[in-house]
Amino acid sequence: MALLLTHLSRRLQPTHSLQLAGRALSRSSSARLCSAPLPSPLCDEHSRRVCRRPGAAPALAVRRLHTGDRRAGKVVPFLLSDIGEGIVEVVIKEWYVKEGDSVSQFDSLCEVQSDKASVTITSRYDGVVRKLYYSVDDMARVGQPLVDIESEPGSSDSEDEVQERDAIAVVGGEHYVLPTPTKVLTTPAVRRIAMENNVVLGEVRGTGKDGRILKEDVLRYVQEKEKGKPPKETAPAAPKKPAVQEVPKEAPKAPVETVAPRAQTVLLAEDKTAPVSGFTKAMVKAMKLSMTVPHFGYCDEIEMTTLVNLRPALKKSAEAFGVKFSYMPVIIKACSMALLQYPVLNASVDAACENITYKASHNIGIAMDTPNGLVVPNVKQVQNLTVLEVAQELNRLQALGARGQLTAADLAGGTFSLSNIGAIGGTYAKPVIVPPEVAIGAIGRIQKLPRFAADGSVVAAHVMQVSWSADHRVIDGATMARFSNVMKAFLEQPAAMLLQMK
Amino acid sequence: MSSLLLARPSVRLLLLAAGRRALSARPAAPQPEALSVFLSQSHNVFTNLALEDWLYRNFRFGRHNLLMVWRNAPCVVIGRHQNPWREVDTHHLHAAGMPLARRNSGGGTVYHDLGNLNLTFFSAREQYDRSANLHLVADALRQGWGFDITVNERDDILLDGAFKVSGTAAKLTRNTAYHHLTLMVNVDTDSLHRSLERPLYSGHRSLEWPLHGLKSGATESVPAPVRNLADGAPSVSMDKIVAAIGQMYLKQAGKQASRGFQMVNPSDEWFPGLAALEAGLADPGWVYGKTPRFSHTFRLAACSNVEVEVQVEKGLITSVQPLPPDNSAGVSGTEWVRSILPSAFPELLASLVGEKYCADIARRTETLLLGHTGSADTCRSDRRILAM
Repeated sequence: MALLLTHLSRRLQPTHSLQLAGRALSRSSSARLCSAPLPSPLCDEHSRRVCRRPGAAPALAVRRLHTGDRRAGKVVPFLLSDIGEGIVEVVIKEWYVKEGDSVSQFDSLCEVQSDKASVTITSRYDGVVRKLYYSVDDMARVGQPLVDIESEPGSSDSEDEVQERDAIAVVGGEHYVLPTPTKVLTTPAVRRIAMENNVVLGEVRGTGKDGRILKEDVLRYVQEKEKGKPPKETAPAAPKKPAVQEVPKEAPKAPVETVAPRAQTVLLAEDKTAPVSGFTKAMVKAMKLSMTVPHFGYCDEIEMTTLVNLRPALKKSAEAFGVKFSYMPVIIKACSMALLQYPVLNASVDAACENITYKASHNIGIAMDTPNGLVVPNVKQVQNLTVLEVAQELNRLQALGARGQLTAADLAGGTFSLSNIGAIGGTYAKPVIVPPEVAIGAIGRIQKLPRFAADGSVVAAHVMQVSWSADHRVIDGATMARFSNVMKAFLEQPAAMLLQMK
Repeated sequence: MSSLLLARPSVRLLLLAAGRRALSARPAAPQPEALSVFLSQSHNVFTNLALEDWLYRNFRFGRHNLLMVWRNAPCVVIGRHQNPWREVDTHHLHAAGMPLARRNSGGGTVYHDLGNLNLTFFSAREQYDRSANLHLVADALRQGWGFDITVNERDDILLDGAFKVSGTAAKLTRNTAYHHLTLMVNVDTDSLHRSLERPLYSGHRSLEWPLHGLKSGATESVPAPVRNLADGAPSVSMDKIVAAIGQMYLKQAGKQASRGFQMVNPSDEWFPGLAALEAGLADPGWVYGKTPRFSHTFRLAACSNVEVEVQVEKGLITSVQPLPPDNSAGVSGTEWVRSILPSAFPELLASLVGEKYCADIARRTETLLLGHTGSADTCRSDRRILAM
């Protein structure tokens, strides 16, 4: 659930959010068809009215006298556009407007039904509805006029296509790098204004329909910028981009295996408040639950020198099986072997702490940092697996986690957790137990540190810190300490592990 | 171009249309980059319909598409432009405590229970492809269990060539489209037939008022013989069907596009505004009030078989008129009634105007006409109608 919710949280912003997914929606309109004066046969009645520029002689003989300036409120028949699926006739089921109502672009006009599909027809123009060609239950033909709309005089925006393109029209100062390319909904006229005023459209909050950025929004943003904000140290104004913007290529996807470091920086000009939603909200809930458990911590140091020296040989063996070797599978297996001696640590308590269930299977969860955040998938039945099998399973989970494809089965059923925070850095930690488990361990980084050997000399030792947290209602310090000692013994002397391995 | 001038007007129109379509041809719909399957954890029909509506309004599809999988506790769902009184026996449903819902998409009436699987395919408008979705489901069923599944021209999924196991409906607007279908896995067919029984009589059993006199432009359901997938295939279970169809859906756009199955709990805190949508869908003003205009003509046996016509708009009665027989020239309905029933009160019929229509209408009309006061203004059927 956590994984999708991150996607959801990006799209769950209120509809006037700036991050709208979608491709460039440049619908061809009759305006484009008539960019050059077309000979009359190809310019039918509809286009001819729209194409006519003031003063231009009409292509065909005029049938009526023009007594006034036609530009003031021209009546345009809005044709019923192609529904698709080869449908030519639909039934009008409901009108949302009546004659005399004023509509804006994208307002719903009517509902039509074609066999099983119910389609909402939205207006393409701003204006006033002058005539409805059909009434309810009539059959409307595709391509025929549906309504007549008288567009407001002087509203040039009604024929500009509202385009959804990327927000990065102008690159401001050197410091300003947007984290991801965002797409915004505006008309070309507004984009021009934004470019002239050096405004990054991604920053402007749109107040139009579906989050469209209107001219007023850009002007308001410019005013606010001049008024209260400290002046930005901007580089000299970037060269103006040409009017036709190309959709920039998608950023190449990060390689799947490695966790990409966050390289972008964002300079916030002012405080930004966002609701806690989606994945973060799930974490809030989970942590609230964890806080009801009384934790105690126990930390220790493990000398990994022998294991580190064994690494080349183990790596070679593992490669023969096509498995990438790391210390984690060994640690997991050592943990499981120690759990065999202290099964209370592999238990589960219910919410009221009235029953404790000793779990038979060691499903050891590994906390992973994925591009979507923290997830804890688990390796099932570690007590029955060899170190190699644990490694294979771990690799599979890591690969899935990096792609955000962990299934519910992978994430559920954990009985014990380990957090390899040392992969990123750190020594001692205070991990938080994942209910309904009763213990968790955090593995630090393996560092090369000076230590005293048995004979008193100083040697270089590979030292790793481990920090345990346990539920103090059911686990006591002594149990935790003994368990930790057993695991420490296994890791410090892998040969002993060999003897006890099942 | 000269051929255009010479061509007959009808042909010219076709050529123009073709030319215009070529010029304004939409670019091919892009493939989605991510696909998810949402499993709704609610079995309340209003909550699920509201969730479907919420996703449709608030999610921008195109790059990330969804398949919503949901099931409901026993209920009946009518299409957006249907007439509930023509489709179902509202009295019977109310007595059985079965909710009646009206969905947003068109099509006919369906019975839902937990053995019925609902699948909603969400996509951008350009990517809307009903038959692809149906074939996906058919393929999943064929591959998993070897059923003899076909898709016919009415967009029904047929088992063994004859039995309907699925019904389909769709809703489209400018940017988004959804296509939902039902799949009968192991539905209680007795309950289904009882609930979808078309009312022949308008509720009052002792007198005959056939409902074939109900005329309207509302969509009519087309009844068909139905069958469950589980009949004769014991290895079928709801979870396996969901898994099979879900996996098939997720594989469509390639392995890396799959975002897996997600359990979704439709609550207002995760989906702000959901409670309002749900209230709107459960509101009798939507379920009954959205009925397209219709008229209902019936005979009152206790009143010398006089024929009465009731006009209803938006679920409210707009006129109640007795109809004189065709051979009575120029005589108004009221005069006719007075002539054959001197003790009747035809003028009382006007009090029904503005009242909510319900299946009991004939009984109420008769009561008023005969002057029996008291019980005429209460509708014995769905109490929710009174709450409208």
